[in-house]
Parts: sequence; structure tokens; C-alpha cells
Amino acid sequence: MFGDEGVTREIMGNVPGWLAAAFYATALAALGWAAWLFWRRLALHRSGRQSCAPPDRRPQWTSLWGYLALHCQLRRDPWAGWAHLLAFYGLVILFIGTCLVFLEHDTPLHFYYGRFYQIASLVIDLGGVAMLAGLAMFACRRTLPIAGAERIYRHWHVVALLALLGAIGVTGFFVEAARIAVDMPEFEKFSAVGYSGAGLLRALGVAGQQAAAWHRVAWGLHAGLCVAFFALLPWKFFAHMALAPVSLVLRRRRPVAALAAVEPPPESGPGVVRWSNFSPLDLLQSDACTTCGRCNAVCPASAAGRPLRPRDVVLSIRDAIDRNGAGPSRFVADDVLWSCTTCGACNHACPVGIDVYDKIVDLRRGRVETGAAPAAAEDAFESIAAEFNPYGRANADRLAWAQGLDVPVAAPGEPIELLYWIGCSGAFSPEGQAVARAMIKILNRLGVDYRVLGAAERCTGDPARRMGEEGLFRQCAARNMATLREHRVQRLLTHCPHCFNAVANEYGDLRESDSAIAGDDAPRDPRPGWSPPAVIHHTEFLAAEVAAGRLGAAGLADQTLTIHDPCYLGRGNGRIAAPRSVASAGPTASRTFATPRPARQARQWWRPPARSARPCWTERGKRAPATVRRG
Amino acid sequence: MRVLALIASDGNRLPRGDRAAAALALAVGEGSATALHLPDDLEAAVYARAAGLATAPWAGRLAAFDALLAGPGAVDRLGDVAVGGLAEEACGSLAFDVLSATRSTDGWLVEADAGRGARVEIAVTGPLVAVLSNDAPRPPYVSHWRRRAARIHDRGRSDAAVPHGDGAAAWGPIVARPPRQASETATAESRTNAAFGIAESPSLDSAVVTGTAAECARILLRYLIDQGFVASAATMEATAESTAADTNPLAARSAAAPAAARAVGASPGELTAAQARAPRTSGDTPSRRGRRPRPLVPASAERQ
Ligand code: SF4
Ligand code: SF4
Repeated sequence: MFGDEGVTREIMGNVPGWLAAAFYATALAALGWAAWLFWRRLALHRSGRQSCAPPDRRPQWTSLWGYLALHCQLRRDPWAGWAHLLAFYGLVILFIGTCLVFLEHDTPLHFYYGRFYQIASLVIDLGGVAMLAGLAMFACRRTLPIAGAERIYRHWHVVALLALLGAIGVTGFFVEAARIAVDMPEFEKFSAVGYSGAGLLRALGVAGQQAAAWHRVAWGLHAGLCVAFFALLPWKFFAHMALAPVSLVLRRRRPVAALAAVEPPPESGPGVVRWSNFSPLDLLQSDACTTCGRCNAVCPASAAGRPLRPRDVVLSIRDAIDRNGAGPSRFVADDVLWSCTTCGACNHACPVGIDVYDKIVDLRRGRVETGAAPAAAEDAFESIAAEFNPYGRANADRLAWAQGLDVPVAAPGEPIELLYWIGCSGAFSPEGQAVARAMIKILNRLGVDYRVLGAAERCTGDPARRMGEEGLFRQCAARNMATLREHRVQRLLTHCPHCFNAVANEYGDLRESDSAIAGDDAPRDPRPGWSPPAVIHHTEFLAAEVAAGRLGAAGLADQTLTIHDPCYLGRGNGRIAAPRSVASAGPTASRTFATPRPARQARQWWRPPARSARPCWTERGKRAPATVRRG
Repeated sequence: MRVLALIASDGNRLPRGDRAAAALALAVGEGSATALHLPDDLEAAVYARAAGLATAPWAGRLAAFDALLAGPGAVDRLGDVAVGGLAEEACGSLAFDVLSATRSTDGWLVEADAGRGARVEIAVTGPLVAVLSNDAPRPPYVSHWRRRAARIHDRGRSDAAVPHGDGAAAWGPIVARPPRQASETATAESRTNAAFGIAESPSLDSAVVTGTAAECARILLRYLIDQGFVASAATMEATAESTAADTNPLAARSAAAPAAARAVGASPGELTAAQARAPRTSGDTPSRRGRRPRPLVPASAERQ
């Protein structure tokens, strides 16, 4: 079928029987050992706490295509991305080649000859070259000042994997070269690297029986390295090769900013106090970490000099699983934990879909449940619980900013088609108040029929939830839902991305039983037939008005605008088009935008400590100028 | 050991001192502490249950206790006179602005805020009534999840057995409590004196204690003995015995104390060691005058 049956090679022809038997025996033992270790590890993962909430993680097979097949996420860092792509596909090709050899040798199938043999030999050689090239690029990155090198995880077991794979590749080529060097058949020219190597060996005087002897030795070495590789597969960094695809397939489907529903078993509270309080998937994900450090590179807390390194948090969880109860109970330090801004950049950057910041919030929940909330957080909790805003201001003053404006406040029980949700920052922070005042003016100018809640509006509970106070969040959410239900609100307009995210993504997880904690003074509306409102960010609302021609932006002409994508709007919820379309409205000839980073990669703008020489923000590792002008 | 916490919210939240009182009761109560809350104060009851305390509604009188740790919120609601009365009733010691209390071999070691950054450590024998300060160390945070669980799961649950003595006198606010500010700005000593009705506190005019003539006489005598104006135990005993026929249970209780001391072989003098102290005078040294509240143990045991 594939042509001349003589165009092939004798598989294991030069390998003594005892060596072949030893290889098969040790390979089987190594694979069995690896499987057993994986099984034990998965048993530890399974001992994680099962949530009572309905799972929001259906397998996402399609993500394997973008993440794994195309390496889209990995190639955001071109050097590391291409290096991984070459090494990954090289290894895959070599694995397939080995399987072909196995099928030919150990099954009745017979296909490894003629043209097929030659093409397979060529492809397998190219695979080997690709793998070695990728490994060489990784090695360069570890030794040369290449962009991204600063986030390298310098640990010997990572070097061990690179060295082991490199040794497997090099010995593989040597085995091939020695085999061909025995008699130099012409058809082996398709094994380009092996044939060239064989030529070199011959030039060095290695041929015939001598080459056969070299072949036996090299084969034994190559086989031993492969066996070691099988045995080490479940070990630390090596495990990512098996677990990262699983993590990708099972990764969350929610927007980056949305925290998953929390419903611990009745006998326990929310949050993580010991490692086994994490969910099985969280535990699996911590073993899937590739230690690539992309999360560290994008973390604003890390950039601001705080002690938080998201990768270290993930690896601390892995270490805690390794110790299985031994070692410090607080495997992540308090100052690390409370440094996180919950911006979600780490989740977004992670190439294997690890939800880093969810784990940080889970650990915070554990601290809060055990009474170890920091004083500032505790004060904020008390303010939210008692004053219904985290600023500690009287909630009755929620409309103090609106003096002189015509603001329609909803009467109790009045049905509302469009509710403008001011939010605590809109009500109490000067910057937010300016936005709210502008928004009210626009709404009035457009003649929109809307209402605000005034003092009936309360904190959405978002800050409490991010700081780990799940119970308080539930309480706020239940109360706010009761208010929205009382007014039969159809659409909810908000300018705060956090309010947007909480109501749009997280209020839907409330349970019927949560209505019991809304408070005795919460409005009760038993009427059926209402579903939670559609949530609109004010940029989307304005963009729609601009598109409809009811709103212009003439005043923006001849200005340089800076678009700051809020974490919870751009990266967190994918809303990046609306702000740009509003800013682009009207005459644009002389308009320029300053966008320091691609929208979804935008990071928070932190002023680093004065002693630090790091820039306020960076793009692709270069120091950014004060303003980047883009037409 | 019977340890009670008396806590109250201001409607929305528990003052820090009340939370500290609950936490301290939990810490020193060896798992058997009970929080007392005002009957209408669901917030305080839920907080205490979530913190791990048994709860009971406050009914104005108590059976014997080893320590009653009151929060400033509760004292705001009930008035200083209530805790004064409870201390009186239990023949115990009353301390305001308490920061912490720990068990010692023969009683309690109380650290109190003496104002202007100073702190005093007081060794107390016998029952302790301590009003926690709002500057007490921050207690462990009690999460709203736990409060939610307490609210949902304890709905309809009956309260713990009420530690109320049948024979004890009822104490409660007789007149409207003084404004919170006044009680917070006053020193612990003047508040103590006001609680016993012996200082020229502005709130004194309005804080009237009602009781039978025998009860009032007994309170007066106790104060005079405590300050050293009247010779100690004999007078006390005589007073107690003279009022023994009185049906007032409080008086009967006072009468029982020296008798109990005799029963265990203690001399009346030992029982009332503090009563033997000389009164403070205006000519005292500043350091002597600065001791407040006065320790109820011999001066050698006192640590400044
Ligand atoms: S959420 Fe943001 S601040 Fe927190 S660890 Fe991730 S990148 Fe850092
Ligand atoms: S958590 Fe993700 S981004 Fe961070 S080091 Fe691990 S694999 Fe890389």
C-alpha cells in the first residue's frame, strides 16, 4: 500500500532481548507508578470541599483549540509563546511517532514502510528539531536578558524538566544517527537530522559494528531517560503537562470579575481555612500551574511593591497539598492576602485558566470566618452593615450631591422602568459625584423617564464580598433584590463597574432562603411575574444614545482623551467597545486617545513607591512614555 | 464558673466594648458563658449566638455569678446604676473602662483605662462586675455568615436557661439614663461613685435608687465600711442581722455573707480586707489618689 516494503527499518533490531525486555518492564512500571501517583493526587483533589451550589463549570472543549492548539494566550508573550509552541508540538509529534513504532512492532498492524515510513521519518525528525529549538529558546530566556525573563520561576525542577526533555531529544537523534551510520541506506535521507548525524559519525570513523555498538548504548540511555520522564510526570512542574489541559477544559465560564456562587455544606462556613476547604477544581488547578509567572507580571499589587505574587499563592496551595496538613496552617501570609485588589488580571493572564483571585478571595473568606479580618476591613463591614455604605456616612445623605439638580426619587412601591443606581462611590466620593451629576444632566436633557432610589439604595455588598465577607454580601444582595422587586425594576443603569458586576453577574446566585436575611424592614412583595432587571453600564447607555443621534460629543473635539478601562468593566466583563464609541462620537479629525495598554490587558495605575525605579505602567515590558498617542 | 456578658446594640450595631465583653466572656467562661441581651435587642442576641455564647434575655436580676462583663452599649441602655446595683447585690467589685480581665489564683486581674493613656491593673477577689471600654482590644470578628446562620437556624429557638435568681433584687434603670457622652467623659471613679450614689455627678440628681429603708441603710453602711469610715465586720454583721427579719431578699443575701465566712473559718477581717483600708483624703499623695478604682486586696498585691 505504501510502496517498497524494504524501505523501512528493523525496530529494535540491534537491541538485545534483555535490554528490550528491561525497557518494557521499567516503562510499564514507570507508567504504573505515574498513574498511581496521579491517582493519589487526584484523591487529594477530590477530598476538597464540594459546593452545594449548582456547578457553573461545564466542560469547555473548545477552549482547548484556542489555548492549546493555537497557543493564543501563551503567544501574548511572543518569546515564551513560540518556545512553548515549538516544544509542545515537537513533543506531540515525537509521542505520535513513538506510538506508530509501537503499533508496528507490537501489534499485527503493518504500515511502517515505503513512502509512509519516509514521510513519518521526516516529520518525526522535524518534531525533534522543533522540540529542541523550543527548549533552546527556554534556555536562552533563562540566561539572557529577554523580555519576560524577570518573571521566570528559578527552581531546579523546572530546569530538570528542560534538561530531561533536551537529553531525550539529543539521545533520540544520536540513536537514529548511529543506526543509520551502520549501513547508510539512501532512503534514510528523509530522516534529515539522523542522516546528517550519521554522515558525521562516519566522518569520525564510526561505522559498521562500531556504530551498532554505539547505537545499543545510546538506545539504552535514551530508553532510560524516557522511563525517567514517564515516572516523573506527576511530579511538581511536570504535572502541568497532564493537568493543564484538564484545568483549561474545566475552567469557569463566568466573566473574569464575577465570583462563583458560594454554598458551603451546612455544617461549615464559606472560605478556606485549610487546604482541603478548596474545591476539587481549585486544588487541581494549583497542580496545573506552569509557573510561567504571567500572573505576577500583570499584578498591580506586585508592581506597587506589595508582597503579593499570585504565582506564589498558587504554589503555596500546591505545597499545602504536598504537606497534607503538616506545616503552617496559614499557608498564605496575611499581608500577601490582603494586598490583592481583586482586579482579576491574574485570572485573565493565566494561560491554563487558573482562577487565582477566586482562591485569594476564598482564603480571605476563611480569615473572616475565623475572626481574623483586618481592622480596616472590619470597620468597612460594620459600616456596610449599619450605615449601608462602606464610607461610614449616613445613608440618608445619599442624595446630598444632587442639590440643585432635578432628581426624580422613586416613591415607595412605585414601578420603575429605568432605575439609575448611583452606587456608594457616586453618592459619597467627589469623583463619583461628578459623574452622577453629569449623568443626571444628560438623562434630564434627553427626557428619559427614570428614577433614583435615594436613601432606599444601599451598598451592593461588592466590597464586602471582595474582602471575604460573604454573609454580609448576601445580606446586602437580598435586601437590594427585595427593593428592586418592590419597584418591579425593568432596567438598571449604573456607572459603577462594581455595582454593574455585582447585580449583573452575582445577584443571580441568590437563593430563596436568602430573602430571610434581607432584614425585617425589607420590602416584601409577594407578587409573581418579575425577573431581575437588565443591567446597563452608563457607557453602553450613552453609546446607544449617540448611535441613535440623540447625543453628540462636540465638546470633545481637539482633545486628547485617556481611556481607562475599569478592571470590572473591560477585563472583568468585556465591555470595551462602548467607552470608545462614545469617545469617538462627533468630529474626530483631531481627536487622539491615550490608551496605555491594549484594553483587556489594562492594569491599574499605581504609583510605585518613590524609591522604586519602575514606571507607573508598562507596555510589553518597555518603559512607557507619559502619554501614548494613538490616532 | 459562671460568667455573664451583658450586651446591647444601638439598634444597628454592637459597640466595640460590647463585642469585647462577649469575646472576653467566651474566653474566660470556659465554654459556659452566657450573654444577656435586652428582650427587644435581636441584633445583640444574634451576635452573641454567632460568637458562640448561650443567650438569655435580660430581666433585671441575676443569680450568683463569678463575673459579669457588661458592654458600654448595655450600660448606655440600662444606666451606670444598673451595674452598680448588680455589683452591690453580688457583694462584688465594680470596674469601669475595663480593657481586659484574666483569672488569677484567687480572683481576677483587671486592666482598666485610667484616662490620659494611663492604665491600672487591679487585683479583684470575689465576683467581678466589669464594664468594658470601647478602647478594649478589638475582639475577633464575628462574620455575618455566622450571624446569618444564627438568625436563620435559631429562629424560633428558645433561649438558654435564664440565670436569674429567684430571690435576688431586681435592678434596672429607674430614670432615663444619662446621655452617653456624659458617661463616657466621666472618669471611671466618678462613674463608680455615681453608680453607688455618692458623688456630685450631674447625673446624680436624676439617678434615684428606690428601695426599702433597710436596703438603703445597708447600701449606705456598706459604702461607709468600704471607705473605712465605719469599723468593719462587726457593724456589717450587726446590720445584716438587724435586717435579717426583713423580707427583702437582698438584705437576706447580705446577711448570709459573713455567716458564710464564719462557716469556712475565715475571720470577718479577712473577708473584708478592703474594708480596712484608710479612706483617701485630699492630702493624699498624687500617686495614692491616682489609684482608681481602689484595689480590693492589700496594697502589697497592687501593681501600678
Ligand atoms: S486579582 Fe489583581 S491584585 Fe489580585 S492577585 Fe490577581 S492580579 Fe494581583
Ligand atoms: S497561575 Fe497561571 S499565570 Fe500564574 S504562574 Fe501559574 S500558570 Fe502562570
